[in-house]
Amino acid sequence: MLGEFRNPEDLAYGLSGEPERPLYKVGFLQADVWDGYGGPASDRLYADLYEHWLEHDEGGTT
Amino acid sequence: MSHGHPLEEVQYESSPYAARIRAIEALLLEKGVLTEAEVQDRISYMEARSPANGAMLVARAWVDPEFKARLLSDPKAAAGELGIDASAPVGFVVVENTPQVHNLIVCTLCSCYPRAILGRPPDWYKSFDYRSRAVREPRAVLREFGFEPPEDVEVVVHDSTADMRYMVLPMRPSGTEGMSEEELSRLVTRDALVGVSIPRYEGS
Repeated sequence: MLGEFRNPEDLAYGLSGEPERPLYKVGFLQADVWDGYGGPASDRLYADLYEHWLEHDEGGTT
Repeated sequence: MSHGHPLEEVQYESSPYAARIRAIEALLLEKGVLTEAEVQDRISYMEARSPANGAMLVARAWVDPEFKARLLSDPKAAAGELGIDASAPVGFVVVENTPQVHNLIVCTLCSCYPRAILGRPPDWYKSFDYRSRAVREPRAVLREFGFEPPEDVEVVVHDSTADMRYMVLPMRPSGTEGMSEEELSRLVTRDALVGVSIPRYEGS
């Protein structure tokens, strides 16, 4: 959790962006993201993602 | 200044984008939305910021472990201690390179960059090539910048897609034990602060 910020999708249209949305730093193993990733299995990728950009994982293994 | 970078895009003064932005600026001035002084203030603000700010933070962190702890836990306050105004409304995060981890910063969406600290990003940072490849094949990108982390070092890519701005705290090169903070700061390049390179000391 990185903090709460105004919603960038609203801001882009000149709206207030309120209420603020939680922003998370979400980590992935590169090998899980890309087929045939060329580096070691431990390489990681972190992306800053707003809560409303995320979906509940229904138990899938992707 | 940054010639020779593998991902450099050539920018021409006569590009349609430059012409468009000048036209927009002229209109905003004409309609009284902005004044000439406000535009000039903003340009001065950006030009007062440079990678030297980041180098100063890194050099202080190398010689002062307590400052380093503060730089990692509360980067804005730590920047303030050195007289660097980091009060811009976006977050500022410093990620530390270690013998196990090498960090690389990218913004795949656009060109998010800690401008409040380091000034304007280099052109290659904004290129489609860098933005797509830094997440997809970071080690290939690093190799093109002349740096190959060993296989047992984790390459960790930070995609600053939102309101946080990232800077890398690189490792202090060996052989620099006797150097002053001032001398150390000269080893810290802009590329090292983005993580496409590391500080090097030839005497080591």
